[in-house]
Amino acid sequence: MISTQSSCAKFSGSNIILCRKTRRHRALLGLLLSSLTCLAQAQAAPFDSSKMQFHGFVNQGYIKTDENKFFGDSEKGSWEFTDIGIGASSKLTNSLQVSAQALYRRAGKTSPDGIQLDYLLADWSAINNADTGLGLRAGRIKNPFGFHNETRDIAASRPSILLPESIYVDALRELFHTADGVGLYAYKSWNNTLLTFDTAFGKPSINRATQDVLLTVPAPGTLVDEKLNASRLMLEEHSGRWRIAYSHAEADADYQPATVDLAVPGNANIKLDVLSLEYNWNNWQISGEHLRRKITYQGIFGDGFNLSFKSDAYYIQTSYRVNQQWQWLLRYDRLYVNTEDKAGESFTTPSDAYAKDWTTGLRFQPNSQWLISAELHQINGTAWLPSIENSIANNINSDWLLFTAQVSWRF
Amino acid sequence: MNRWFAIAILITLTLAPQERSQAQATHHIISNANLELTHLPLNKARSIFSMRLHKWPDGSPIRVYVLPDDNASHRQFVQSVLRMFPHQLRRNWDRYIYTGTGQAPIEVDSEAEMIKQVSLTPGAIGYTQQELVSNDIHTVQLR
Repeated sequence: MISTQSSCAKFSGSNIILCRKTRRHRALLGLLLSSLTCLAQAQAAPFDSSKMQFHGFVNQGYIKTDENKFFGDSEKGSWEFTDIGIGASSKLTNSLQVSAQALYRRAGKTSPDGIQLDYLLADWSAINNADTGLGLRAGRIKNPFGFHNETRDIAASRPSILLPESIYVDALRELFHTADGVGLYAYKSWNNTLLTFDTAFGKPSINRATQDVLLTVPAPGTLVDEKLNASRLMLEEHSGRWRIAYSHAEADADYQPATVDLAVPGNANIKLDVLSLEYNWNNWQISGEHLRRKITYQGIFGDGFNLSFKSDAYYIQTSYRVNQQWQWLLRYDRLYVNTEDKAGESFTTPSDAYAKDWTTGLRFQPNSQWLISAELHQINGTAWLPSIENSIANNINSDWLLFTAQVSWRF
Repeated sequence: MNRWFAIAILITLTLAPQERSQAQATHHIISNANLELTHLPLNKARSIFSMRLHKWPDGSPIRVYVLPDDNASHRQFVQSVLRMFPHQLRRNWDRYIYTGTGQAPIEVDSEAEMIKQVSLTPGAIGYTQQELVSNDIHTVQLR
């Protein structure tokens, strides 16, 4: 799982990402325009500019580790942990909303530089009754997955500064965060419970860093024909006292070797299943999620090569609201990359096979706009340590501490 | 083993019978008179204030007015009338706002402003602590 980043791969990678992005944006825009025209014809209504809303957020974090690097040179203390988002939404008709958000994200070497189109979509709510609902989305949409995938960049929506890394792997964020495609959503209410279903199909965003993580080594070729689907079924009490969700996601891509390449054509496939539970009792909240992940490689590393392994992760956390401004969190988060090799005997660096993270944190939220938080992670294992930031040459330590603090503002 | 123990605890808690203190409602839901709305089921009110339901049965838009999150009156309304936690309401709004799949309620600074906006805006719904008698506003009973 350990790799070094060659500047050549990085350079060609950014070119590829650029070409791909332009193509993707054009396809996205086409899709969006055609769906808009179609829907606008279906229900012509006067445009109401009062239904336009703007929103935005700025998160600035600081990370310090005693060993290993996470989001920049964190051993010295890193500020390379920034999110800035700005977006708008407009109701074109009572049933049709269009929205877009641009995102600038800096997370050491794990995120692409520059401003990205985070989402751009049309959402058509075909049925919207108290008891039943059904709608369609098209464009670049956020993938329904677990409790936190769609809102992972919104500091106030997260229970902690870093989400449980075993399940919401930052190094694979781009792959599972959004898809360029279509989505369907539905809900049904019975007595005190609400059942919601969300699904999305499309093309994921794979950048060079994500590709390296997915393939476990930097390879000069490119991933093509990427496909992703994500679905979530959630049952919750209307009051929000408890919720249970089951999510499934699958990403698939073919590897196309470069002209000079040791790797051969092949396919990479990753499947995720997550069970999520949350319970609220007075000022206490207890929640947990359990992930099973299966990764399969065919070809790529050699003709006829075939490898498949399963990962297993869960976290359980409790948080206590001291009052409306202060909140305390305690979490245990555990990941085994290969359930058949928990100690990492077959890994170049054995500690890359597992990660056990005890986290405690404090949040101070004076109002809905500001949030100041800090947390300490005591970690054994390096399974989710970004390999792009930690080469074998850097002594990797299996026992490490991570402290992070963040100030967030939003409107 | 740890994991199954944890999951078992969560399931037990989830399925445990509900014991929620039925705090005395301190607020009234109010709506614009054009809606002629007098009664609302609790779960429908929760769907409206959560911003999941955004159309009245006739297809016209629901305009939700709220006070700021840290306003004591807002917190009392959410807890005693909707019987939810204010942070859960906020979590729902955030999911809609920041994923582009919905919109935020309209925030007003004071109860006086709330009453004014709800009385002036067709399709508007809000809440107040006062007992109101007005031709422009209906008080809505939960059932």
